[in-house]
Amino acid sequence: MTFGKSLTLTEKDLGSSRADEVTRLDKERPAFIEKLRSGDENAFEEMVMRYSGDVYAMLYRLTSNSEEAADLTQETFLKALGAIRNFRGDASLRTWLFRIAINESRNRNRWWKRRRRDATLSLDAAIGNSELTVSETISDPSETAEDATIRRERENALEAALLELPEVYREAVILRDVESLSYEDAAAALGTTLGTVKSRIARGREELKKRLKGF
Amino acid sequence: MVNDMLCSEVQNRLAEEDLTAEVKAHIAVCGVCGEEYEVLNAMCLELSTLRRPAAPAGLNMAIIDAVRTENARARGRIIPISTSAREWFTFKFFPYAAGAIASVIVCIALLASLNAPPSDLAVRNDRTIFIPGAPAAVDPYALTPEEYAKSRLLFASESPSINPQGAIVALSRSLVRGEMTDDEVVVVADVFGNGLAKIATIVERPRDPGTMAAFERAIESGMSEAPFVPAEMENRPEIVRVVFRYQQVNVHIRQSDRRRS
Ligand SMILES: [Zn+2]
Repeated sequence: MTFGKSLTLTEKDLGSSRADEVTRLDKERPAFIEKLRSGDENAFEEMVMRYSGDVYAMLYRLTSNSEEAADLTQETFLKALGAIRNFRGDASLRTWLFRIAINESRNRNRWWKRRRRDATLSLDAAIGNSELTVSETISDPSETAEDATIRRERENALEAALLELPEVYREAVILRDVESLSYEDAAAALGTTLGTVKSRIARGREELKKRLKGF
Repeated sequence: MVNDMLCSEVQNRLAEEDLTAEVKAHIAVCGVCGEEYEVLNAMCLELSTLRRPAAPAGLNMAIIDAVRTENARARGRIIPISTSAREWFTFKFFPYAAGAIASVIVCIALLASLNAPPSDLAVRNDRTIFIPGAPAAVDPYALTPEEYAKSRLLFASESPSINPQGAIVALSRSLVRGEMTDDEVVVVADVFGNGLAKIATIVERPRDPGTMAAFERAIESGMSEAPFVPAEMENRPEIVRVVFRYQQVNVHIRQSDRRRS
C-alpha cells in the first residue's frame, strides 16, 4: 500500500490554518499586548486560556507524554510571566510561547538524560487522549469502517515515526508541518536562522518518509 | 522526455518547499520522481491533519493558580522561609529541593449535574490535585494512599501526595455536601515523614472563619487520618516545607465537554 493513497482531503477542506487566525488576532490587538507587558493579570490569564491548548499540543508532540507536556505547559507560562515585560512583538505571542516551551522541553530533556531516566519519558506514549481529527470532523459519507481503521493505523505510524526523529528534525517538522508555522516563525521559535530551519525541515521530512516506507 | 537532472539528485531535493524550475520540470515528466513527490506531499498534508492532543481537563485552572501564586509571592504576600530554616533546608535536601518551595494545591471541583466519570478522578497536574466533589458513580476516594503516591512519584520531591483517605480529603467531601462558596486558604506548612503536618504561617485566611478552623483541624490531624501519605511511600525527604493553597471552586461543566473527556 502506498502511504497517503486513501487521502481524500484537500487544503480547501481544511480552511485557513489556525496559526494564521491566531497571528491575525494578535496583530489586531496591540492594546492587549500592551496590557500584557504592563503586567495586567487578567490579560495574562486570558493569554493562558487562549494558548495553553496550543502549547500543550505542541509539547505533547515533542514528548509523547501527557503529564510531562502538562507540566512543561505550566512551566512555559510561569517563564512567560517573568519575561512578558520584554516581549517585543517581533513574533506572534503563540510563536514566542512556542519558543519558551521548546527551551523548557530541551532543558528538561537534558536534565532527564543526566539522571539517566529518559526511559520514563516514553511510558505513556500510547495513551494521550485525543480530540477528533480535522479529517474526522469533515464527515466523509463514503468512508467505510475499514477505511477509517486504515487511516487511524497510518496516523499512529506517522506519530511513531515522528517520535523516532532526532530532536532537531522533530522540532522543525512539528512546527512547520503539524502546527503550520511559517518558515520565519519556525526559525524564531527555534532560535535559529531561516536557512537552518529550512534544511532541518527538509531533512526531517526525508527521514520521516524513509521510516514510513512500506507501511 | 526526462530532463538532464539525475533522479537521485532530484529526490534529494523534493522535501524542500521552494522547488527550482529544473526540479519541477523533472518531476513533471519523470514518473518515479513524480510519485515520490506525491508521497511526500500526502505525508505533509497528513501531518497537518493529525488528531490534536487535548489538554487534560483542569490544566488552565492549574496554570492560572500557579501564576496567581507566583504573583502573590512576587508581591511579598507569601512569607519566605526564615534564613536559618532555608539554609538547613537547602543543605538537607540538596539537590532535590534547592531553591524551590514545594506547593500543594487542592481544588474541590463541584461538578454540576451529572455524575463524574471515573476518568475525572485521575485529573491532576503535578502539584495540583483536583478532587471532584459530585456524587460519583464510582467512589473517587476508593484510591489507596499507595496507588495515589505511585501515580505521582515524579513530583513527590517537590510536593507531597495528599492521603486520599486522610483528613483533608474528608474535609473536602464534607464541604461539598454542604453549601459551598468559592473560598481560599493559603498556608505555609511543614509536612513530616509520617504524613502529619504543622502550619508554620497562615498567608491568606478564608472569608469564612469556620472554614479556617476546619482546615486547621484537618491539616494538623492525627495519625488515624494523616493528611499526607508517609514519606517512604514516595521517597520524599523527611520534612518538606510547602505552600499549601486550599481552594474551593464551583466548576460548571457543560454536557459537551464532559462527553469528550
Ligand atoms: Zn526522476
